[in-house]
Amino acid sequence: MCCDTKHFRHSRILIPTLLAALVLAMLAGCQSMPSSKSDDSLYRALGARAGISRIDTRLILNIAADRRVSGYFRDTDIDRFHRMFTDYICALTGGPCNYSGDNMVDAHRGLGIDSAAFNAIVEDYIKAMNQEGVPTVTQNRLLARLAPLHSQIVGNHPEPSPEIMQLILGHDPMYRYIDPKL
Amino acid sequence: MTQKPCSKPLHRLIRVFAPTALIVVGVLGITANAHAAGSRLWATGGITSVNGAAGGGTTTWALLNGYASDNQSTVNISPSTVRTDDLNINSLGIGFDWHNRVGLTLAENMLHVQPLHTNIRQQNLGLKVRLYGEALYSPLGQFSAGARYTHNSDFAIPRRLGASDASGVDYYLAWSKVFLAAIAGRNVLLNATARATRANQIGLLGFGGDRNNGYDVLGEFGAGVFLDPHWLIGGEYKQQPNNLSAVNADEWKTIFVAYVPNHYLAITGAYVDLGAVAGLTHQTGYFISLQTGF
Repeated sequence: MCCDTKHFRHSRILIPTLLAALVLAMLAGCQSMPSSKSDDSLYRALGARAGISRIDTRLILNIAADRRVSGYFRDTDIDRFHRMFTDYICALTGGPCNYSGDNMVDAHRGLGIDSAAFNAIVEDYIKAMNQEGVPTVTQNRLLARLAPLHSQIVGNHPEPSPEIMQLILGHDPMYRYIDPKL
Repeated sequence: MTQKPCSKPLHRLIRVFAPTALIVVGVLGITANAHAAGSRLWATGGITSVNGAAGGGTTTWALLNGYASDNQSTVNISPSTVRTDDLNINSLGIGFDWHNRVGLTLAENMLHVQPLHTNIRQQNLGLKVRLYGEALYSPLGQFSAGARYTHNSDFAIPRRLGASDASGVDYYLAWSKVFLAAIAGRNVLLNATARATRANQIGLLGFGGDRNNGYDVLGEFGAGVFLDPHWLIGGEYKQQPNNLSAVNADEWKTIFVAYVPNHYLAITGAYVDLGAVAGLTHQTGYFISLQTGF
């Protein structure tokens, strides 16, 4: 490096950093507070299963019109997708539904969904909620619950589930040593 | 004074190649256009700071300029102006974001000191790399590291004030995180940056000085609340080194409102308090920035 990297002088950064850490801890606390299992307030704010179903219908129409992502759904049974996704959101938001489909990792394996496609779907979803008149605050609460799905759906090379490894490799204990990326 | 032997060629390189680079970036922008303006969400493209890097106006964020996702590239152009009682800082920045991974920025700033009827110009070349995470989706947020080379091309006044060098490099590590539904159901954006710097007033008054000639590690902090996906209000705080015994430097403080109607446009207005700059005390005023992205 060309320019004179002299020893760093006293740092004035400590106190602001501590303050920032405090704010952060408070925010993290706020975030993790509301999701008790029995809390169905978000489910009700979305208009229960009927409301979620309407949002999902809008979502599917938005996706169909969205060239960025419509191709991913070319071979999808739309009625089944609508029912499954509505159950999924219903269960995710504390509603009395049983989601019987694959987990998010298995459901999206091999589809090669990247961050851009994920964001496009989220945009279509926000648009659907706007079309149904869902308030910003309710939208944010739902998005907060959907955000963790990014790592499950987009994840660079999600590891195959143990079930699949077992199907492929029987009970070979060596499977744990095989690089899942291969 | 102690002009670094390597600064001069690098400076000449920038003067010569900056226009070429602008054209190259422009052409890349046209090809990148096929991908539209990228698909990152909301106002995560930031507002371009006076030094060209993505930020809220005066501080640097871990976010990259524009809205490129993992397979996209975007270009943005951002004119901005700061007006205080005795000073104007006019800036023009251009940023190129590759795959939401590497950001390259060029910016030209001009400080006009009204009482002295004088201009001080500087050129910035910045590189920012996203190291880890994604501000919206990663539980720990997004970390980026960057370096910014600045050359002051009107060094006569800074030299008279005691500055050592016309050119310098800032290094920084930045963290940004969007907390969804964090405060009363609103999304909150937090930024914290540690900057190693010798820059006097971001280099407008040169680098290093008679009081302190070495690097300081200083903090930059910002917080914003999204009223809805298009309106962000917040504040920023940026520490400044005090290297010159002739003139004091205070922290920069801003309160901003940003309107982001779509991925192609962001408009920011801010109240700024730069404190004392170049011997002129209590410099308060406003900042207006426009960011257009492709």
